[in-house]
Amino acid sequence: MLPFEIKELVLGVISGESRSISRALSLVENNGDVTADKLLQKVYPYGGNSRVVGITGATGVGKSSLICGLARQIRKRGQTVGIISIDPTSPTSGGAFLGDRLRMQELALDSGVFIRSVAGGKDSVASMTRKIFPLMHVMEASGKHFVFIETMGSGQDDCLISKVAQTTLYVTIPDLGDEIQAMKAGVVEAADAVVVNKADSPNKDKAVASWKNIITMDTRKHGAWKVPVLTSNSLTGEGIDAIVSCIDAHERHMKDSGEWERRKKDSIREEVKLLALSKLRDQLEFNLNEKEMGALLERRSDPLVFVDKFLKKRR
Amino acid sequence: MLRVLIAKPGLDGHDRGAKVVARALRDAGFEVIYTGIRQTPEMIAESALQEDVDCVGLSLLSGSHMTLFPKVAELIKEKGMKDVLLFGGGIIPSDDMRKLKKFGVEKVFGPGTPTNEIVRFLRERLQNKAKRRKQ
Repeated sequence: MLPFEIKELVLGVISGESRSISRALSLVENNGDVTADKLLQKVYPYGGNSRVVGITGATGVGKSSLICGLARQIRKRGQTVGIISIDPTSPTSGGAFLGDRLRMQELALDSGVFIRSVAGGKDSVASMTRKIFPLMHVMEASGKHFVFIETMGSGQDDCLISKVAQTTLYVTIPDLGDEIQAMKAGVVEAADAVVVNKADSPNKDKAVASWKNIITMDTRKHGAWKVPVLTSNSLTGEGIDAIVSCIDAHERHMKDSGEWERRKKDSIREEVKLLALSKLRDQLEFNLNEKEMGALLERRSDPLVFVDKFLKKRR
Repeated sequence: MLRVLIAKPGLDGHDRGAKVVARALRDAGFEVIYTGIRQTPEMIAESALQEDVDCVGLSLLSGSHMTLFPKVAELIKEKGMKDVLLFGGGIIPSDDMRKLKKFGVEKVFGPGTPTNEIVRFLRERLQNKAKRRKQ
């Protein structure tokens, strides 16, 4: 791409023009090359003004439908919304089936909403794509008031989302494990709010009680944000109001307590680290030839020997 | 990576065919975005724009293909996506298939088409794009 083309694309992005946002997202997602880097550098100064909310939780708990409800509510206030929804890439074919948009199609014709489905890639990290920060910067630069980032159906250890987003909602459903599950470390403790979705289940109250019981045990810090346990039903829209209010309240709390700045710095540190590791990764080749593989199969050598060798061979 | 939007315009809810094709394309290495059933041409075109897809596949079994397919083609062009390949599938008479090509629906696959035929068609038609992306 020529310099003036990049400039034009950036102008399109910051004026919120859909075609430009769409192309820019593709560029930063696909190419780790000069064009993508240049585009990102030009876009970066325009970011940092959106309210970034992360939505995470196991597969099938209703993350996409919940985002649809939240976006609908936020649009009523006249604010605009960008949505980045991530689904897994096939480790064998490299293809993907991206099915999050389907739950949000009622927003498809709202010019104040931009939805982008993203495949995690074979090198995904913590149930997200390695390109999550660049994608977020483009979305932010387009001037959206809110940016929602939806992780893949996530595991217990996928905490990166809480560094990318300013507020992280952990979505769960009734009957998905008992109190002991809620006591475990990991993504559960990274949540700023727990949402028990599909609240039409008769076991809703039990689930809420369990979560509340565990969360009130948090003795780590005084004056800290008290993680609320909320409920929602995406079919009826019940509980959506309260979740939006909670997102707003969390912002106020963070700004009053200095947490806002602290998290911003944390997020930048995380981005730099992720970028550095990704670049390093691109410089390495981890191919074992047949002789090397033979040595490992017969245990005449060990993996560490080859790691050192690969690191030395760095381009 | 090639991206394809699979959508069902119109009011019929028979999405088995669309799902089979979506699944086959996933296994052939495509990134498939599935919009689900009951989509208007406007929803499909806007989704194709936001998702920056290389091709759009439409599935329809209700008989309204001569109204809805050309409308999608028209809207996609209107939005400036001149290099998006449009194809379709469903119970569509061969006479209509020919007519649809004039409206910009490059190929329509009938019932019983082996999925690898669809994969081959898309790979052939999109190979230049795939090459450019890799560079």
